[in-house]
Amino acid sequence: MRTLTFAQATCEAMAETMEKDPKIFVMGEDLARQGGIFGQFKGLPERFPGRIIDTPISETFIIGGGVGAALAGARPVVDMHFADFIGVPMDEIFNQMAKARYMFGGQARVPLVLRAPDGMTFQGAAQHSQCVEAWFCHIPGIQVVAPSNPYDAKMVLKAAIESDDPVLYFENKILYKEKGELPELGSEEPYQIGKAKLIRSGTDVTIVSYSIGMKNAVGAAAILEKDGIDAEVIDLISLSPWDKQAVLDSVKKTHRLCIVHEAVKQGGFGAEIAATVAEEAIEYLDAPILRYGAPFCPIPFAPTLEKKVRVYTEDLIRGIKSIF
Amino acid sequence: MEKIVYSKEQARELYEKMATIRYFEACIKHDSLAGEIPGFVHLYIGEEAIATGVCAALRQDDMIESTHRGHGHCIAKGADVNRMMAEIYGKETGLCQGRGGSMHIADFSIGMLGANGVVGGGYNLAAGAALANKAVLKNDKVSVVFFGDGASNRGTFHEAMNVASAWKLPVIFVNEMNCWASTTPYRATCNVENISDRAKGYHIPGVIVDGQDVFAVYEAAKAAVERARSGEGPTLIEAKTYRIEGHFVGDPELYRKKEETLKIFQDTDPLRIFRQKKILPDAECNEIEARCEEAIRKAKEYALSCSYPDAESFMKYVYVD
Amino acid sequence: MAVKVLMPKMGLTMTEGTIGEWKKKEGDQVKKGDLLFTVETDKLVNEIAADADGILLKILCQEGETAPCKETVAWIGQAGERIEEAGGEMRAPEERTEAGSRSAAGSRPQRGKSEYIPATPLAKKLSKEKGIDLTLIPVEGLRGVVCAKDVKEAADSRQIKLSPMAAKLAKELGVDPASFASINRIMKADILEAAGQPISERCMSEKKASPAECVSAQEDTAVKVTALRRSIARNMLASWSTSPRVTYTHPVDATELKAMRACLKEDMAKQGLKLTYNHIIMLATAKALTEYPDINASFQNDMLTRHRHVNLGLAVAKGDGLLVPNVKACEQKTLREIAAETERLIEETRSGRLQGEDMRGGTFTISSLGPYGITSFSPIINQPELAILGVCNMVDTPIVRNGEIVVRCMMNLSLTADHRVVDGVMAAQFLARVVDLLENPYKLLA
Repeated sequence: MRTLTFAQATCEAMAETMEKDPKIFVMGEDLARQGGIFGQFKGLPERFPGRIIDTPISETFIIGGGVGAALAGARPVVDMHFADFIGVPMDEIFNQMAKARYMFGGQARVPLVLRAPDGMTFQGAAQHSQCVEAWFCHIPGIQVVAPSNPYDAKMVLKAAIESDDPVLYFENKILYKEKGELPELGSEEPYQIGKAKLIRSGTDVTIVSYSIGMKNAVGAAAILEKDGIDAEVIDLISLSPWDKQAVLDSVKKTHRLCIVHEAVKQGGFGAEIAATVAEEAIEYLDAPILRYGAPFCPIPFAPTLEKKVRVYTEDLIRGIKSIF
Repeated sequence: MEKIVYSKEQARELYEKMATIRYFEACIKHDSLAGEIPGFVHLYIGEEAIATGVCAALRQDDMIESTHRGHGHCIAKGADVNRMMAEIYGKETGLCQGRGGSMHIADFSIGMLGANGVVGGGYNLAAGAALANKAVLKNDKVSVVFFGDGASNRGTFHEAMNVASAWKLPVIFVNEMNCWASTTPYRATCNVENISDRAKGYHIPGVIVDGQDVFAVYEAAKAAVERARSGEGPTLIEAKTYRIEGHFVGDPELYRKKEETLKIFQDTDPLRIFRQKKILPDAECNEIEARCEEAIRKAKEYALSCSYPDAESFMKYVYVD
Repeated sequence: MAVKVLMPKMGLTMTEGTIGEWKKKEGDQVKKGDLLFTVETDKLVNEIAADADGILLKILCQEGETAPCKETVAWIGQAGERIEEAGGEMRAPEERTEAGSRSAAGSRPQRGKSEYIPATPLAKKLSKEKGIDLTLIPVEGLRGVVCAKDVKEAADSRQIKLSPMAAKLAKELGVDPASFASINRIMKADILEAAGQPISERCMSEKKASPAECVSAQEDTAVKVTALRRSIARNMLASWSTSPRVTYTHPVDATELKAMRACLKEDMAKQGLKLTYNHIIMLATAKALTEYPDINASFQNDMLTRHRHVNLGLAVAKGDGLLVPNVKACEQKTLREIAAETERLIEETRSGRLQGEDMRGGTFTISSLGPYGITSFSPIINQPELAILGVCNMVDTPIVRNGEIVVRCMMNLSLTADHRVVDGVMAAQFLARVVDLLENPYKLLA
């Protein structure tokens, strides 16, 4: 076993894939000279000169150029600096990236990875703190992933880079520094986009999450165990496509569902999970579905305010206990 | 600039492309008005010399990004009119297997990377393709993006132009200054007379060319392609033309006078201007036109003979399997 | 204050009744004495009148549903009156579970049948699967909502009610009574049905059934039979498996019998009575039975009960069924009284007005198939009686009398007797005695 941070794990994924395929290149703001604002590209510019490109602050070009490069036959990894800026190149994402293959009857492939650092950190306030993954789960033609730990970060990023379809890779800013264990090189399990992981097997309630929400999920499960509630924890990892079956199977076993994500609850991906369970397995539910996410409020600046819009493990514990 | 002497063969090819576009568009107009073609179509009549001239200066493996008014670009780049017609009719044998239609027609086999339904959507794609070819795939392919005067006011114009210039990308920005952004005259929304003036802001060449003269367009494009291919970076070509048809087939054109448009067409019809140059005898031009007319007739027959895609296949191509 | 409408107990042996028809709808005004509903029991259909004035607030036991006697089947009260406030037991008729009684005693407000019961989707699914009415489930969990745990507990605590015969059969046939969770009182017929499913079901459930079999099975029509038919089926089966029976047939020379009837018929007609052979046969049988007390008896739990009176039952066809009213103390009755009483019973049976009392307490039964041309049959004993006499057709028959072939009107009597008590000799002697009385009817006067 090796111990790496999330950021290091993503670097490893980049390096391994770039080594193999010269068509892979990276572009975004502040990558080559700085190694990414969160250090997630550290070492790569030196190792792959000319293949890590610092762009102007031109998000429509970063994404649109990435799409064009992919159409021309390259395999771009583009970086969004902060996921909050993803609205700028929205047309490039949902009208060009997502649709080129379909509109052109399969002539195009868009093997592009869009890396989007998201989440609340350092009191980033309203425009540097958001989790916007749910927007993209509504768009056919792109894939959305959000790993929660260094090992998955690496394997999911590798899978994303190797995918011939565009992937939005949401990486939580807090998680960059998180350390985790990875198997030795060569004995890692490849990740298949669309697959969830069963993190903890249980019988009483299913807790579903992804990305940083997994901290709440795993934390709550550990404490609930002491109270005699045996929670099953599922890390979705992929949101589009998502492992519906894993969640449905679990809910059929536990009869209770709790969903948690950092993103705003209203219209969040939890709504999709909840709706799907209601559609396809409502008769297995023995309690209301619990859904945790940020309140319907821009992320505030002041520490006291920001604290208020976070989801806490205690919220889950309280909620889950209330449905028994 | 050195005066180029055209062979008859070259001239024939240019005329044949323009005539093919003309008859193709005439057919589309007729069939669309007859309700036979689904969706919206935007015609290129009167602007044929631009696509023809630019694409004549490109290799088959060079890439173009087209617009919603893209039939002409597609034909000029060398697409098969049968499969184009089939696509516009929404047939299974169409270039995009009926998933794109007129606004998203594409033929990747000849570097036609797609018409784009979003005005101004092509710049970054062309710049990105140029970046990939130059910096990643390390080849000498050139990209061209066609855009109208309306599209020149998109912010994407700036982002792509800036980066293309900064990195000397092999991309050519071909503006079809047809004077109309849908129903709005170009000058009503822009204080710059010539879009090519903007090239100065990016420190790249800005060229104005008579968009009705296929030879002039070809020559401007040829120079730009050579510059791009040799690593000197992008060129902005402004081809002055006029949108003879409405914005789309069925446009009542309440914003302008039909007679004026007709008059402009009579004066600037690129096919007529070509003939006036007397490089080819009229008889030969007539003969070429007859051949083109027949080819389009057959293309329509082909399209009509093909079936629509199996409805059950609608999910195909959302993702690579 | 609202009052309960109960499933009546019409006679000692009635344990449950099936609502045949509600004559009033929920919300209808009812007056004391108004016909409210009909009840089908084993034996008959009774009309039940309202015994209170008011509005029929709520029907708890729907048409076709069965409720035990004294169970509340409806409420009558004033408009807008809440039944919950009326208090009292509000269990749904088809459910008599532990859970149900806990519910009634518990703190949860009483709930009517059509009231929406908040329950989790899983609880609903389980309650459907286990056949437990949500209204009967006491709520302990989540926000007053019925959840899966409540249903499971209710299911676990429910007692499975079996008739003794059903219990015995279930053991013998290896049928799990728990599989009848949704059935009220599990009867023998239920067990038998579970043990040997109807062909159509078997065909559906067996994977290897050929398509052709399935097709033919699908063409069959399954009809839920009436309470009367179910009752007959149960009783016949019970009899068949209870009594080791032997049928004895003896010919009767009916010449004198015919003469006697011909003689008395006119007189009786004047009294408004129609004399039939059955009446005379009943008279003779009653007399013979007084001489054979072990046949005018019943046998249960190794105890032989000799009956003081001959309550002579007569099998009477009614619609698609069969009822057996009996003429009480037949041995004390004159032929005229027997005729009058028998005709009354037959008339009331056919018109559906027969009272339960007329069907209870029978000690011996006569079944006549003579009018249908039957010349011999083996009738089934009407439990807990010990024998039954089958009366066959009268046929002019050439027989030898005094060395000569003569034509006489002959009739067979078929006696089925329970060999547990009635041995062959006793049966033969008794039958011979009946024959003797019929061939020599003047002996009836003795």
